[in-house]
Amino acid sequence: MKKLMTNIFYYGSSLVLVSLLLIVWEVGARIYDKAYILPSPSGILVKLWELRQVLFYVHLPATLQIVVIGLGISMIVGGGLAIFMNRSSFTERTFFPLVIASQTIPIIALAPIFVLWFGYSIWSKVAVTVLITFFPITVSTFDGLRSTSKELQDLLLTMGASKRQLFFKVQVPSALPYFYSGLKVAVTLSVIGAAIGEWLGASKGLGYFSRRMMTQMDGAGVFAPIVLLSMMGICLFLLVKVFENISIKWRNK
Amino acid sequence: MKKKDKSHSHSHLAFDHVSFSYKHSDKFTSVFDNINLTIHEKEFVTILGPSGAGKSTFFRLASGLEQPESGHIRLRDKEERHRLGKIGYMPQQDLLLPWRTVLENGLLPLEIKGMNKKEAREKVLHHMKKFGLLGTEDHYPHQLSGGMRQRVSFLRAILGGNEILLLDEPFSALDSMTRYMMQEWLLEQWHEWDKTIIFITHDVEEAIFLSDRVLMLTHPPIKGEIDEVNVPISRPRNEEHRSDAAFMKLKQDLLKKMRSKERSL
Ligand SMILES: Nc1ncnc2c1ncn2[C@@H]1O[C@H](COP(=O)(O)OP(=O)(O)OP(=O)(O)O)[C@@H](O)[C@H]1O
Ligand SMILES: [Mg+2]
Repeated sequence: MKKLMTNIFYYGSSLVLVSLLLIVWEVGARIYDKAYILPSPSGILVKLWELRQVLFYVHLPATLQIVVIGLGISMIVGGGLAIFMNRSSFTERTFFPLVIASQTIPIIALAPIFVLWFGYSIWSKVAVTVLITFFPITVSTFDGLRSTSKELQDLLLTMGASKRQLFFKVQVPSALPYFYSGLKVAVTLSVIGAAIGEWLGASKGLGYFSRRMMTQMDGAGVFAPIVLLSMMGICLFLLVKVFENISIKWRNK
Repeated sequence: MKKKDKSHSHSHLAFDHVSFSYKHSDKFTSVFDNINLTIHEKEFVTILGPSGAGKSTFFRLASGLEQPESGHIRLRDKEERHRLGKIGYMPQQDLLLPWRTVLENGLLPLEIKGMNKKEAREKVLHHMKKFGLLGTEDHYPHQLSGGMRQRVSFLRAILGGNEILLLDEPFSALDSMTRYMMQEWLLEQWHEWDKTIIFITHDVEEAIFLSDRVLMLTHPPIKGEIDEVNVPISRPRNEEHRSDAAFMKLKQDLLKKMRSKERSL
């Protein structure tokens, strides 16, 4: 409880700013008074409450599933690619340009093709999510692996360490903090990826629901799932931070 | 000058016509050119020399991180190309793994050797007690003082279990008080452990206080026989020996020798 209080105090300035913005928004929306264009925060909250059944039991789980599967695949693909590129300068030269090129593709243009390939199944949205989230994980893990101190590796060699021991005892722990910073970026992007995927073709999910409300000119209905998406992103981010603090506890001591 | 104490007459580590140079794109920096030297069993030898003389390079060769371009390196009179894992090495920086506690850092060489976890833990704890590190086992390296970190690093090198220990300027980062204490402590440990120690320093007094023999390196490339000086001061040594006339004389001589070597370049 005391910790919570100090936390609230610590982020006090941020809370004040958010409250201020919300108040300005609320007042502005009431003066403007066209809820289908600019719904007020209180209107959105009311909408969230009204739609809680479908939002929390149908659309939120659908999107969360995409995000979790997408991130899981990205971690494996991104981590694997980083390890692979770190093996030799040949693999780096061969694959790094491709990794970068993959990020220059406009996702919006590519997403419909994913729909063609994977249909309206969950996999077309997962593909969009993976495409934008594997990149930060790959790049930061790769940097992490490369940052491994040469001296530490030499030291382990003099102890008679094998390649495998070198990898698990030095390279992995050195790269871990980098991996986590990549993952934190990826987690926030994953929500966007899932929403874009759903916008372009889905029958459920927060992105899909938001778009459907748009066609009904329901301003608050558009915003309510967006608020949930953002909350989901924040929660996932905090979750990653918890894991980070557990696995890199030496930094906080 | 080459006569040896009887107690360590067997060769433990020998360089036989060893040449080595670093390659930098297309530039070669020759560090050793046909050098010969022998370190005897249970001997304490220091390598004295200014920065850039090739001291650390000598250790990289001895430990097996580098191989000679020509010549042989022998362990106990047998040529040995696979030296990695056979010679303990305490690097110039303490190089503790920051994500491991003191205990876990000590466990590292035992893990690599594949020792049973429980047995390894007991062994480390036993050594920590001797090293005055008990109570710090759950600390991370950044929570320790410089002197403690050096001791952990030394503990780790000892736990490797090898009979030859290479210590690269282990005390250079310490203040002079701590340093004196660590020197005496190191000698006590050495008397207990029966190891061959090769110790790098650029401090003349440290070299004399610790060793049986001082090898002098000046500037690369280093050629042929390495200049050496025996230290005929009796053991066990303690603080008083530092102010002995013989000790002072030796220090003067060594300094003079190092200077004339530098000038003759
Ligand atoms: N990796 C390397 N590549 C090229 N040249 C190197 C390399 N390492 C060392 N050298 C060169 O070899 C020479 C010997 O270096 P070394 O590190 O052995 O010196 P040192 O005696 O240990 O010095 P210090 O007391 O500063 O540690 C130096 O001239 C240095 O510039
Ligand atoms: Mg050095």
